[in-house]
Amino acid sequence: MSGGVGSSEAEYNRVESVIGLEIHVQLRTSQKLFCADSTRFGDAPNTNVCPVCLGLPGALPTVNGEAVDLAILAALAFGCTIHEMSVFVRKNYFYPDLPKGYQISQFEQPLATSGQFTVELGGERREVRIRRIHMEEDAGKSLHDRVLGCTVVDLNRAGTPLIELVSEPDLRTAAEARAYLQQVKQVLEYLDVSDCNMEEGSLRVDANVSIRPQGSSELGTKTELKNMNSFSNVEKALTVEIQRQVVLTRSGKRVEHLTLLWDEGKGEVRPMRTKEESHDYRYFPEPDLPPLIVSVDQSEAIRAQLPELPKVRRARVQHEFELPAYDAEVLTSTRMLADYYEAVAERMDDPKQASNWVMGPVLALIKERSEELEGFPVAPEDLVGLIDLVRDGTISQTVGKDVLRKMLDRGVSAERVVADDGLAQIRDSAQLERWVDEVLTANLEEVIRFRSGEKRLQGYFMGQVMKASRGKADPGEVSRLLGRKLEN
Amino acid sequence: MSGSKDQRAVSGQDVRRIAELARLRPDQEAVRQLTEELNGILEHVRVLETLDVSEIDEEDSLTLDPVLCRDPKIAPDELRGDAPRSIAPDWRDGFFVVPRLPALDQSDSSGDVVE
Amino acid sequence: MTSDPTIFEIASRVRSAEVAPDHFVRESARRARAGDTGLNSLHAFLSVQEDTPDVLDGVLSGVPVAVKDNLCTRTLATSCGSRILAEYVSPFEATVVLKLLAAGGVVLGKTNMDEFAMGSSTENSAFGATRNPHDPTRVPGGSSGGSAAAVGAGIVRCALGSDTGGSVRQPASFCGVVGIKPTYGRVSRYGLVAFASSLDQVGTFGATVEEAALLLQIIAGQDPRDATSSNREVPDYLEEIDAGVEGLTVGVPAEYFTEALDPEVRQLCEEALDRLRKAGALIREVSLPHTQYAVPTYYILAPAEASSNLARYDGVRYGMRAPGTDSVAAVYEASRTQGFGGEIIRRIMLGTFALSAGYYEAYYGRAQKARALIARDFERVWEGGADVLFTPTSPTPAFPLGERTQDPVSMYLSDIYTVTANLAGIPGISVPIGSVGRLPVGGQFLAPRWEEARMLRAARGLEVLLGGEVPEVGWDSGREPSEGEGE
Repeated sequence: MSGGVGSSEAEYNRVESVIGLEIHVQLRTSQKLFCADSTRFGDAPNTNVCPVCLGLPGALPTVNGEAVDLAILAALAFGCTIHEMSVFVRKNYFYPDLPKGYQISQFEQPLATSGQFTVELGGERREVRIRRIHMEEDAGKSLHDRVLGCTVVDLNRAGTPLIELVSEPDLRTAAEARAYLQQVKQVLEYLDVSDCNMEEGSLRVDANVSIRPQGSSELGTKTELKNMNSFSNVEKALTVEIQRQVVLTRSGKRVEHLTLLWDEGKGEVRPMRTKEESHDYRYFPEPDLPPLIVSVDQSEAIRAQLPELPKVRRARVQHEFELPAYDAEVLTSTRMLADYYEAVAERMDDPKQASNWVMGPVLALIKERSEELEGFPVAPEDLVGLIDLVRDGTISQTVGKDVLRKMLDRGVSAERVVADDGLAQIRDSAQLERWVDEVLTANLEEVIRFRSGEKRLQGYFMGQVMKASRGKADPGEVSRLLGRKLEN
Repeated sequence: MSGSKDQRAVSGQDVRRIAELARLRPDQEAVRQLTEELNGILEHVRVLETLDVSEIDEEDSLTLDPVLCRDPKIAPDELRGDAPRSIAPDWRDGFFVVPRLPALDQSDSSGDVVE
Repeated sequence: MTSDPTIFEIASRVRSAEVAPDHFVRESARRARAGDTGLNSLHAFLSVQEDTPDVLDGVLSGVPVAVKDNLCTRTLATSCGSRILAEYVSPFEATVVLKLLAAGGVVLGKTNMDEFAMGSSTENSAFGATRNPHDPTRVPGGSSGGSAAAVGAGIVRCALGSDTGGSVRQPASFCGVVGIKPTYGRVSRYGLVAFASSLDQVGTFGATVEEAALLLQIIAGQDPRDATSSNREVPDYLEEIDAGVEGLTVGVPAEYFTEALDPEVRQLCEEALDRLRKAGALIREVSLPHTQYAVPTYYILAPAEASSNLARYDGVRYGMRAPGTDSVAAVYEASRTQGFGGEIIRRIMLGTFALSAGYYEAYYGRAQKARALIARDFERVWEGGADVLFTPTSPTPAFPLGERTQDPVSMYLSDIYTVTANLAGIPGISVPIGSVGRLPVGGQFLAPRWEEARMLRAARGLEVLLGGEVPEVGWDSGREPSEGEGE
């Protein structure tokens, strides 16, 4: 039954793992795939439902063109061939949250096949072939024990458009698998086809894994892993399962073809109680939907809408703005951030400064307020305005960060905040000299100590001057003055 | 109507397996009767085996016009009355209710996280 | 009674306010109830209501229409003749019903049918059989037996049914009325409870060809909620309907005139052809060589699709949930096993088998190819110059109640002349051509896809030529069958 791998210990001393991933991605359309209900997340249960997604007698599916377009966009981004004709099928099985008793999906004639994706990890590259991308509808949600002793069903999600992205088993380590997921998610986010949120369920992953002796080209028996709700859990589950398979085969046993559930709490995998029969989906072409035809014109028009993809953009940004690799990676981690950075950098003559500001204070603020911010409401030109005020010494860097926060809160420009709050650094030498003299006079002992070698007291004097000036003294000027005066 | 046991297209065991796939539970007498009836029908259908279908290739379906995508302006068909609550056999707090599914049972679900 | 006003006359009188808008509805309702109180209760209706038209200046204003119980309606239950939907009231309405109402028509009631449209006699209804209005010991045909009987008994002048393998045409033939199955995709299936999705169509019954045609006119047309409905323009079906049959080439397929055909039915067909010939039609023998594979093909494809379409009846969201079930598995199995009748279970089993792993290619896959060959037969015949084809509708007149219920295959064989049209997606019509004793017999015209107008012209032409020689529409429930009538 299992693949042709033997069980001798010698063979298994050098073992390679073979991993394929299936990703289900919810498409960010306003309507469901086969009916016009809203796909909005979080509404009261069973309120975004209609005869079609309830599976009522007499209801019929119709196709959402927006979903088709997004699916094509995703398929093109992964280098797939778009098939001019693809066919919807019925995948028949029984489950309480599957209203029709079948899922409308695609099987032998999917929308797209034969793509590829390069995964980067630790300086190495892994080419992963994409076997297929097809469209299908999501099922509803079953919740257990929300009502004690019962399972309850909410069909709001039933009918949401999904694409399923299936890779060939070209990944070789659990870490690679995680990297693949992160980088695929990044592409999908760049395309804006999905929220890609594993917590909300808009991105779900199943894994297939087997092992074989290094150098062998035959496939071992694979197991299927489910129930991993984060990328790190995918990596953990794969690690555990690979280990389990290695131990099994080393002790002379065979790997059985099983479906396993990842138990995060226990850090282990356990088999699902499946019966062979339940896998007979009795696929046949969906008689309620004629074939889907995608003309070359249509797919080329969609190809023209492809944005610059993450790795390409990263390379270009790095080169164009002469940034370190690290900066380029962070700045292009999301499309919105990349757009923002470039808009800022274009308006300045110091892209590295722009990078420091965006990677630093801007990102920190976004992170801090991640609940409220979508995109960053401080416009690029306004950020540039702030950076200019710091560069020309009107305010210090420290004050600048504070100003940024206030710009966000008040929705006004940097100049406005500085003016309103009187934050402009004081550089009037007469005033500065007065403060310096005040501080030095009030701290004669420390002056003596400084002059006898305790140079680090400079920081103390600086602090005192800043205190006297309520933070507004230009530190650069103060430093110079202090230096001059302490000399004498 | 049914041929000899050896030539039967379906056995009683097949019938039980098919019934399970279809979520039906015929009793022993019904299984016996269904086995006989299904074999009778399949015997009648057997003539298809001799039909030469070679001139039809895979793509030859009853040519329908290709699917037209839905007009996004069309609203969902409104549900009258208090549906789906009014038609549900068991309903609580806005949900359809069924007896609790045993943990680890059933293969493909929707991909829900199992608790 | 043949002195009853036609739907044209009814609508005209209601539009002109000559009568109250619900006048004819009330009369039909009275007849419906009378029909179920006699010695041999007709039992055509599962529900009756007296409603008033929504629209008073429409083409069908005030016309009472019987609606088969597998079409979703807003006030009356939609049970599909099944216990599993016994009290189900649909929260949405079928497109064809909406169109009917928008034209001023009134749903008089829901008619009895074989459960989920699977059957040829209306004996598979969970709510009792319907009787043939011409002979209460016989079946009205099926699965739209209730609608056919309602028209045949003179309760209504027109009705809606559904036709998947002959379920409008065959009962029309048995009840002595006109029954039309349109081209697949001509009429919306939204709100028609699915049996076999690639074969189902809503069909119309009428006391006459023109009345059935008018009803078709009202319901035809694209529906954005049905992706299989066509956007082809709907012609005016009545415009050329009286053009006559002169010059029409009528093909007669040899394969429909074999030993299976009752000799008296054959006789009536030959007489009909003779009339057509004398009126100037060109009669030509043609061949549809794959006809013998039609019933086997149908009885793989239809149950296969049905097995999937009926998976939704699981007791979870609507319909019957068997009591005392304490697991999901039990909910499914008990509700379905108890809620579905024997024929349904038989067909679900057959269909599930035909689609199952290891058998798909041999059964479903092969049947799909056979279907394509059958469709091609028709293409060749049209290309060869036939305008329409003429065949018997069914091999025999109405058979006795109970005669075929023990042998499924014998029941299926009453569809041999009708399933081909569903498989090929072409339109068909049954029109009364005489009777054997008291039992009406129908002749069938078939036409190329989208050529309903031409088909109606031929049917109307024959109807005129036979005028007065076909059984009366109308029925007295107290009447006993007389000596020597029926077989």
